[in-house]
Amino acid sequence: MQWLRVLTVAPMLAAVSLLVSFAAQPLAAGAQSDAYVRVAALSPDAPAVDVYVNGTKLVSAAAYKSVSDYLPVAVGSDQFKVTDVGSTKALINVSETVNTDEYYTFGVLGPLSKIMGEIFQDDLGAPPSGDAKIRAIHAAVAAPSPANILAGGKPVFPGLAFEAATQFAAVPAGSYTFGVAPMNSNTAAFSATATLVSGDVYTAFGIGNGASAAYGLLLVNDSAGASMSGGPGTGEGGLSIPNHGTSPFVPAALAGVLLLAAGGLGLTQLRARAR
Amino acid sequence: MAMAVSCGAAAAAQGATARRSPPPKPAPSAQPAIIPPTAALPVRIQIPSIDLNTQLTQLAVNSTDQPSAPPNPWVPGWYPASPAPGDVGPAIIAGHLDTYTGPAIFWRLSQVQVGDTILISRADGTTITFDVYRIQAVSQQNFPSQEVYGPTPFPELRLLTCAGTWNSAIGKYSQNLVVFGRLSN
Repeated sequence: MQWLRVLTVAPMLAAVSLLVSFAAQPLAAGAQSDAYVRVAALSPDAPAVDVYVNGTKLVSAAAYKSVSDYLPVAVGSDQFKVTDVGSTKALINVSETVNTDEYYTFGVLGPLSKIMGEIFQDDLGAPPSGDAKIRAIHAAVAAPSPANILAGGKPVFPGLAFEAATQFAAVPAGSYTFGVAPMNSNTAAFSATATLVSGDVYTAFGIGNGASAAYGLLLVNDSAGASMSGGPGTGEGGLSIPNHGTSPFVPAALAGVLLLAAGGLGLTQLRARAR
Repeated sequence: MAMAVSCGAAAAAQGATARRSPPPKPAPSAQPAIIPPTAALPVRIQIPSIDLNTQLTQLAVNSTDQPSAPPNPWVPGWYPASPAPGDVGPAIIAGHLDTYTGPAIFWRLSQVQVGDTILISRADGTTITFDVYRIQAVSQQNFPSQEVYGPTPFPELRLLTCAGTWNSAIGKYSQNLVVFGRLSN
């Protein structure tokens, strides 16, 4: 009853997640006045695209199913322009507002004939211990919309419209089978399995068009950590108290020398016998 | 849209899983999710500012996720329990400060400065560069695991070695030195 557990403690988790998100904010390494945007190229029949922000190229030759790293952009109202690779003619030209130290996914969505750009705000706060965090974005052309997003055959994100996103939800780490079904149905039009790692944040994109591009689930890490705890013992004191003991590496090295010597001696004896 | 997890029955949750664990066995009608290609494994590290250029090995963590020390004091290692350098998240590399008798591979790590570059060569022949943005000595006894190992939205790097004062009674240094790097744009 893992999903039920999520439901039962959801309000508490929301509060905890809010607290944790402050404690676990990524250690910013860029300029202080940036927002961060990654590009998800999900139009199944579109060519690879270049994406410009305020006239400066942000991403080059983004092919279908690719998702870039987060890249810094100016805070405020930004002009996003999407073109065929190397072209100046805009496939998409849209203004989006982004805020300081916030993270966004700019999706290039829809069939080429109705291609559009949509920006989604990403919530990278760490999930509670033992959980992962995930949301879904519906980019599957001509798939059920609104869709019933299933996990283990049961609806978890009902009513997800094409080109829209769910909120993020904390779920126990582990393996899941996700499905995309019509509303009020638990029969998936397509489904996919995924393993979610504790502490990580994910976006699951439903992609494809069911024809030239098969339907599928593209699972991307929004943030990821190391499954580790505590520091390594990487010192033996020789810089503080030189020659204060016997290194385990010295006997190992000596053993190696002795082995080599013994091998050499044996070889010499063999050669002597052969003569 | 509000999350509505109202329906109860469990998915096939199996508890915490190791990073790079094998993908789950798909149900008959389900395909594995499409995962973006992961970075090639790291094989070498260079830090030009301290004249360091050496191969990398792979290191294990124990059943409580505690990192083991590199078995060879002159060969640092990357932990596969962390993301590979270049993938989203902090790639963790540890190396020895010293041996019983003198310095080891990371004995000059404390001389690295913010703005220095760290180059990681990978098994596919590519090399990526990380920019150092923070250097911090942290307590070994109260190690800030979340701060060092916690999730990041960028490909990052952490270099770890020992620091502080040597305690002969317990055979440990009091601190770890952590060098924080982020993939160069």
